Amino acid sequence: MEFRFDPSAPAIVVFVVLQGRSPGQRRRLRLALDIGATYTLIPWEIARALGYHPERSRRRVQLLTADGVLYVPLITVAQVRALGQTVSGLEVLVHDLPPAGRVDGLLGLNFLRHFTLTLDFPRGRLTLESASPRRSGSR
Amino acid sequence: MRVQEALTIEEIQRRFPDEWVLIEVLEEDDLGRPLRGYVTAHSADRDRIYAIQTEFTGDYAVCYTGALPRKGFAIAF
Repeated sequence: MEFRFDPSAPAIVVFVVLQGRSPGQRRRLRLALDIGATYTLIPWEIARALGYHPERSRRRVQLLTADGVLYVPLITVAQVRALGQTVSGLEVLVHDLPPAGRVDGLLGLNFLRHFTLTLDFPRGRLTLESASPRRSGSR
Repeated sequence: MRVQEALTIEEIQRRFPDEWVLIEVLEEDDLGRPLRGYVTAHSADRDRIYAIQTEFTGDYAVCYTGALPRKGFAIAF
């Protein structure tokens, strides 16, 4: 499935569908595609609306920001869908980005690495395809 | 606060320019982008929309209707 983007835009922003703990509870957000981010990241209030409890999470990750190091909760989201692909049980960081960035979070490597990502900047085209199975013995 | 008629995403962008909107999604495309829905709340204050959406159960999208910042901004997360 092909996604068209503006190659001159300051970020590539995609809609991501997050599944809540209960069936039917769903949120769609605009996340910046970020191959420099280890984890996918969503805001606190969205996580809460989906029925997750980031404040109770014992899993914390050091997040290096311009303002210093923060300890940010990690939760497991039942299902994350973006660019026509789905990952179940995705670990997601919970942290609010500054509103001036006008995106709600980040679509990071822990989602993208399940697939073959092709970014064609001259044509402004992005595809995310199911990864081909690795041949046995290949590295 | 809810707009009583279903609007397309283009209509929502026209009616609520440069705002954060909360949309009850009625229709999506193959990539999960909302195509049509009810505007349940809108505000220039993102955190207000984040707070309001916690009151709703169902399929909702949070969306900024304006463009990404360009002049004088660089985005680094």
